[in-house]
Amino acid sequence: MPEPLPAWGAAADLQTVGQPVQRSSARLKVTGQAEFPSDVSLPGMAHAVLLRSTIARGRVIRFDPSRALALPGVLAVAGPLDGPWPPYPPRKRPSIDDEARFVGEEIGVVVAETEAQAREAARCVGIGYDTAPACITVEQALAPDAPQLAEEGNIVRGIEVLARGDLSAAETAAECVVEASYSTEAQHHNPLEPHGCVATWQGEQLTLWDGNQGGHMIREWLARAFGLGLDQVRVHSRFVGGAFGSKIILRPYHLIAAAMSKRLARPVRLFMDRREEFIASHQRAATQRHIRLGATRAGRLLFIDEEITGQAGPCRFLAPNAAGAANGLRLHRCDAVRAQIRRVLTNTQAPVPFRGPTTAEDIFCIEQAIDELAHALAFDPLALRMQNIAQTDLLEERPYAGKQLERCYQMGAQAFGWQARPPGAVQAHGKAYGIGVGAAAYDATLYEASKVEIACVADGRIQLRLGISEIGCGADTVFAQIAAEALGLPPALIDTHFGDTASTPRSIDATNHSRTSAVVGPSVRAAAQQLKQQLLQSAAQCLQADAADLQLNEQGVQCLDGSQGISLPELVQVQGEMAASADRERPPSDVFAAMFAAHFVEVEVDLRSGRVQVLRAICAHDSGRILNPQLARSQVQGGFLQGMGMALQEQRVLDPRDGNMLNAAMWAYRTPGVLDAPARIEFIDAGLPDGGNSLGVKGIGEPPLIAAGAAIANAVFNAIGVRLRSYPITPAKVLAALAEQAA
Amino acid sequence: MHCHTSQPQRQVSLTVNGNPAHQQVPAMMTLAEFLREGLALTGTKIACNQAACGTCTVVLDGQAVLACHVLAAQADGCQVQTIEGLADGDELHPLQQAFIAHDALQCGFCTPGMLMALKAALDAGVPAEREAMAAAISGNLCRCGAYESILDAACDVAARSR
Repeated sequence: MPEPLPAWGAAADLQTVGQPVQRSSARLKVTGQAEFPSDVSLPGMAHAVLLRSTIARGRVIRFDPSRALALPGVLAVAGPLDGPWPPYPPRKRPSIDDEARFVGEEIGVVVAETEAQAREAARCVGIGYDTAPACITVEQALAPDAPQLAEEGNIVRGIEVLARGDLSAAETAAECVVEASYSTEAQHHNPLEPHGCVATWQGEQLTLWDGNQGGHMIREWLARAFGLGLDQVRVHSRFVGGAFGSKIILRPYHLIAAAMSKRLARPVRLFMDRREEFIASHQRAATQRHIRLGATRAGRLLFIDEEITGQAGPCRFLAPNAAGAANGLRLHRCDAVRAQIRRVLTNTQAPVPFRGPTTAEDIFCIEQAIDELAHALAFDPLALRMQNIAQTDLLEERPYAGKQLERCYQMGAQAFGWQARPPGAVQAHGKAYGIGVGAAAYDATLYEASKVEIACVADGRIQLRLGISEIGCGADTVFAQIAAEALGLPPALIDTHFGDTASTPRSIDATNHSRTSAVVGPSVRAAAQQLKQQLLQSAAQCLQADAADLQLNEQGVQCLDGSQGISLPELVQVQGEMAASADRERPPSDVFAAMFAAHFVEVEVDLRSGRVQVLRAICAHDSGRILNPQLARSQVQGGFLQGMGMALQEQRVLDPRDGNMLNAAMWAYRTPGVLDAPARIEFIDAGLPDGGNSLGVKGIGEPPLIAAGAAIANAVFNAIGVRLRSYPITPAKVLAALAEQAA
Repeated sequence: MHCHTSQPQRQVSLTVNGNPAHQQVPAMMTLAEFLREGLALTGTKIACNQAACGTCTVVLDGQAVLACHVLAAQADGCQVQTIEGLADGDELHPLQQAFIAHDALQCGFCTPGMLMALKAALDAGVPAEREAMAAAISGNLCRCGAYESILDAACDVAARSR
């Protein structure tokens, strides 16, 4: 890996980076011209619909396609025995199998001339099961007589223990201990554009149009699954209608669409309907926690001891997504920590990453516990947090590459008017009002190789080629800004080309973990810097001048004394296209990079209906350098609302007897609408350029969701004086808590 | 995407973005499917197909409707406006300009429906107030959570046009 370029520090004089440059894709999106994968239509395209298990556990013992095959337009009906169905490494289950492990798992496929014909035919396939006893809930899976879903038992991958410091010494020293149980509910991503793809073959060449978070990784997995070379697979993934973590990994539908396209020698379109989105596109895990905190009377946090259980679904491969504890343990300075994590197999959809995976569940609960500790100590919740700020990462035992959590607290509290509000509830006209604070930490540790290419092309414009998808964060826009900054050109001269594996280098495996800017950004800067040198040197040849006497600007390359110059189109005409590429810079090894945030919210609780309305939110973030404040604000507002949804309203309802999801519809699983949203969600940039990379950037995608939940729950406690430890905090739970309080 | 062989067909004649469209369609084909498949106007998106998210909103004879819950046959003789007809050539509609200026979108999948719902509201002369704009998009979900910027954009346009 190359050495980092000199860092853009706090004092760097930057012209384009840090400016609210307009989102590059905005015009295409407001005119309806942006082509999403579900808009792709190819000549001769057939339509596939998946057959899904209606039982939670068992085997398909009868698969009768005859009635379906007789229907008009039906081209193929295939079941578990009509394979081979490729699995994708490292998974073992074929993409269509006779073993069913949750309601919704893929057991067959129908392909027809139209999607309606395929859906009609899917209802007519005769399927018989040999049903086995299932575990739908974690409690069922942990019962003494529970069916064992794996040889190792229902607690998969053992009990993971994260521990640092001397817990028993800290327990002895503790003068105040609080302890309680909390839970979070499974959360569905519910992107507006469903999961799906269009697959087609030309000979042994496979092409997919797919909504994913990184086409290069999907291409690599497809190539492995089909035994193809990388150059035999092309994945288009340019605009994606929402992802939030759900479109990272290869799924059975990719393989099945590609397999059926090959069999039928026709393009095949396979998109889920909304019910399938809920029952088969996977989700955030449901978790439970028992947390014990100890502190001195003076408010020094001494220990965190917690037991965590996450619902892992049926497979070992995705079980790590079920629960985690690291970011909650590193949020506050603490002498000793211990987290025991159990990931429990169940016959439900396996969890996949969802914006702040495992961390949001964790910090929603830990930050309520910290609030409970403040209450027990009669401390202001903000003061207790301010008193327990860590300078060294407890788990990694390294100092932070940058940590502005204290600035988040201070700037957030100032903007919110935290000190001006009296502690305790305010009630008026059947409504109670309360304020709350919640903090977040999120590790920024995922590093990988990142190649980018940049070229000055025939019309003199700069083309930046990136192997990324654009899932709505505006990554293409900030990379154009970085390239513009390094070149010294306006961003309007830069075209970003992305979303096609055949014409881009591999810049990242997927846009996830709030790291795309930090991973790809330094490569963009380095490549642009190289291109600038090439442009100056080739202009020096043309102009018979010394490159040191030249400058690059909007007009082209000019002599510093203004005597002569050459425009970029002319330069390319003479010298040909010029291109440069760069790899990700070497990350510093002696520091640990993490993002921090503090959210402050005010809520109104309707004491008659139990409904909680967030009135306003101040979201202070340390994300290092902010590349584009307008895009950052959009990320913060969206992340806050998804966290608010998880905290107040999003609830999967599974029938504990048979594993059927009872609210698998947009109108029954409600995500926040405009009337649920607070009037204002204000983003405060409390960060400073970070030491983790030469740009000083961290990330802003996930922390806004992570910090939102506990701030809201703590405000509800402040309003009504009752602690609601089970998310989502629905009206029914609020009314029950109020009734218990009154009794 | 309905079965063309087993369903009765209907002849529909409607005007889409000022252009006449005459087609034989399956009786059960929705307006959203007709626009996307029959006319290749894929700017109108389908997200839930259950009349629960507003993504497929188009303007039908001046009213914002959910195109997944209107049959193409019901739109016979009607004027339909979709996102493709919102701009005047290269000149963007003020709402489109304001959406860009306020970054009132992220992934962009809800954007056509949001714009068409707001266009219908503005054309109907709703008051230039935040509450009225929120009411106009109260049936439109944005999972990316761009509501605040969407309302900023809509109020900006409403205030300037009064």
